[in-house]
Amino acid sequence: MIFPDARAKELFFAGVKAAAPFLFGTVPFGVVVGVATVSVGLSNTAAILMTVLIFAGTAQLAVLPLLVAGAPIAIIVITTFIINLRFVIYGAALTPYFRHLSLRWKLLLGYFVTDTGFALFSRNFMHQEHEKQRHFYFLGAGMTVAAVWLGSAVAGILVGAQIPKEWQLEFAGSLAMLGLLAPFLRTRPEAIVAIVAAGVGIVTQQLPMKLGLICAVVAGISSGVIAEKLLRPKTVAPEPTAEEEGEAQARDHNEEVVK
Amino acid sequence: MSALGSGDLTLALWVVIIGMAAVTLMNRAGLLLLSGRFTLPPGLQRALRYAPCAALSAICLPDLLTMQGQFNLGWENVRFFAGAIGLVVAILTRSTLWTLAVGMVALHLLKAGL
Repeated sequence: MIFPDARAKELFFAGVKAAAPFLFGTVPFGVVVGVATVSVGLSNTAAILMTVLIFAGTAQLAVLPLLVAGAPIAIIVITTFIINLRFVIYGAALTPYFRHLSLRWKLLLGYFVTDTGFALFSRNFMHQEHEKQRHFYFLGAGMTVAAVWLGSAVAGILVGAQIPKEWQLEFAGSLAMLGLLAPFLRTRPEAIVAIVAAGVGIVTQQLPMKLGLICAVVAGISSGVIAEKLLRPKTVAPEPTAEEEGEAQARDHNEEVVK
Repeated sequence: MSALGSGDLTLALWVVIIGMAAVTLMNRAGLLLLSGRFTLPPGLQRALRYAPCAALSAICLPDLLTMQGQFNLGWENVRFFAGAIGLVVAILTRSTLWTLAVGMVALHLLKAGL
């Protein structure tokens, strides 16, 4: 890549370096998503294509049971959209800082929006107004996460295709989802969201076309909003800004970010 | 008809993958591309925070808590017990590796025990 000046290059590699420690968490997760993707029966080509084009592990993991169950395409795409709604929150927080860039830059940076990259950028560079090239830091962090994530997922796909069916590695996908859920269960509104979504999910399981899933998600989100209102202390706290909202989300979703 | 089919890149599977990629990129880059011409109301932003938790729970938990579509926490539902053990490990260790290792071993031991 050609850098416009020395500072841009410096910032890019600062981003690479900052993202590196988080990759210890990314590698096993990438491998598991790769293994789980081929364990449901996708060919290696299909699995690799899915991993590269979507570049969102949680969503990929979550749609696998839906693919197995033969859910309609619309439900699979809607589920992906819902799981990746957290990226909309990051986008809202990042917009003021990347507004001046060209369309091509925005698309490029958009593809590299990740939980880790967002958390690092918002912690270190949001308030550095004098850094005109800070998008290079964001790009450096994002590309590092992407390279390691794609590499480990492809490794998982190639290894997973060799593993015998009796090992039941598709269950590793369910375990990985539980691992992503665990940090949520420690806070109150989120724990209520999980219980309500699970309960409604069970009751509506027999609805056709996996529509019960959508019911469960809507019920879960609504219960979170209501629980938050009921649990909030009477003194009115100031509304959180877009940045605070994004940071809280990145923390919830990827706990290693705050370690 | 299932989009998964034989697992090869059929037209249906292409549509799934392209659809997933398109909505994901839209979520990621949409607001950046609009550059502030549209902003999210704070209430909606807070509600969106619950979406990943709700979706993960809705997909993963009913699957572990039921067998053949019926709520079932009996010993024959080994996936529930292995999942519960995995979840406890995840909460205690915060480690993907330990969660997977203990959960997978638990699944096979429970199955072998029955």
